[in-house]
Amino acid sequence: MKRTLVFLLAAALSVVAAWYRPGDSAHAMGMVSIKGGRARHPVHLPSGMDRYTLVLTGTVLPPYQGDARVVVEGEPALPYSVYGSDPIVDLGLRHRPYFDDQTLTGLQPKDRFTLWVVIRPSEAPAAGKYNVTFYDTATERQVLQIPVFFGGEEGHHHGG
Amino acid sequence: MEADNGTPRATSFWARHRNLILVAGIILFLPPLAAIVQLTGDVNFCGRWCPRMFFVWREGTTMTAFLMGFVRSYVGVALVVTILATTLAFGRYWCSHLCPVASPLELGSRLVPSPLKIDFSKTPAPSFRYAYLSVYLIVPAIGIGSLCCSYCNFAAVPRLFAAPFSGGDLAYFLRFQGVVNLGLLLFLGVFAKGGRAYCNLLCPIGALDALSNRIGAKFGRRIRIDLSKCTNCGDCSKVCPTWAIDTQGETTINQLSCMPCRLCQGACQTEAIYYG
Repeated sequence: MKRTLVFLLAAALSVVAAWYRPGDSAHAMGMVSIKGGRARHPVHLPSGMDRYTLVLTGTVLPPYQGDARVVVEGEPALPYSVYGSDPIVDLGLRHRPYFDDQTLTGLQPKDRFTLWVVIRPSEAPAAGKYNVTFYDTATERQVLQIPVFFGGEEGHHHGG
Repeated sequence: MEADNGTPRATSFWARHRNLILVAGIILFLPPLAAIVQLTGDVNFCGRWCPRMFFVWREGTTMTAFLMGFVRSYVGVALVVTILATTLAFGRYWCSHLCPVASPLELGSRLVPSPLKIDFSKTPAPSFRYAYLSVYLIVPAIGIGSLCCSYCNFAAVPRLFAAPFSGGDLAYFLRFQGVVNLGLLLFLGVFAKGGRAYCNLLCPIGALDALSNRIGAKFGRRIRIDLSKCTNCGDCSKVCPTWAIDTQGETTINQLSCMPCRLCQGACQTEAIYYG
């Protein structure tokens, strides 16, 4: 009897935990390419929070290679920070791109990367459409753009 | 190398050097060094190394996309297959000795004074664990949500080690889901008696590994009890971090929770517990 009750209680708690999605974070995916890139997983977030954390994971499609600057674009401009996911102690065992000074450096075909974008609306609540855009630093051409929607439709985000 | 029934316990390499192996796992797999994961160009257990997501079917997923998940996480797939196969034969050595995600929780719990530790041993672990695993597998398939990345010990523990050095990893914890994950690690790990409540209740890899342990119990090597030597004193159950030993009546070991940490073997005064 106790085992059955624990099973049912744990299942109920787990369903609630799986169903609930906090509004302060999301995971977006994209593919960097010379044709402008493709967002596979755009982000929808509720308006009105004082801090958002976006996890961006991406792959580099051949033949693109180079360095890509990452910016959050939209009006009005929102304060943000972008962080890489680099090794703390790099043993130099394999090639990997690095994130430094807002730029993913040394991207090569088939590379994968993870970035963390922390947005902190300071004045008005974030609303409307913004983009996290990657520009090739050599040509200033867009190589990836991930839309981020604040307010409006919800439910397409997940915690990552 | 292993201690069989009647063999002095000190001859077991795995028993004598368990703490060293736990620490080595942390050094090799977790930041700041993370040497093993750097072999594939990674920094943690996400992406290629993710052992938790590839077997989860999501609503609307095509078979091609599902199989691509195996390709994308090929190291995680190899890791899980190896864990389950070795467990069938030898028991849950990954969970007890090698898992770098569990090691810090158990070692951390040893630093917490006993009065502050939470005893979860009254919870029937398999019932809780397989309810969680069922939801873990079924809920994404019917499109209600997902437990997979939101509550991930394989993401949270490496980032906990990296957070003092990296803004990205710190950002993981500065949001609702990160705080929840941190709370679970502390509540069910560091502050749990034995430090293994998270492993025993919420780890999907642990749940699969426990199934493998149970399935292979007939033919594989396991922690067992020689009832002719057992005095039913209960010393073994007091030290068991996964509360797998029941000494009410005849002493039994639940192979759905047991891992060969050998703590019970060390506690047994009559050498009734053996690995074999």
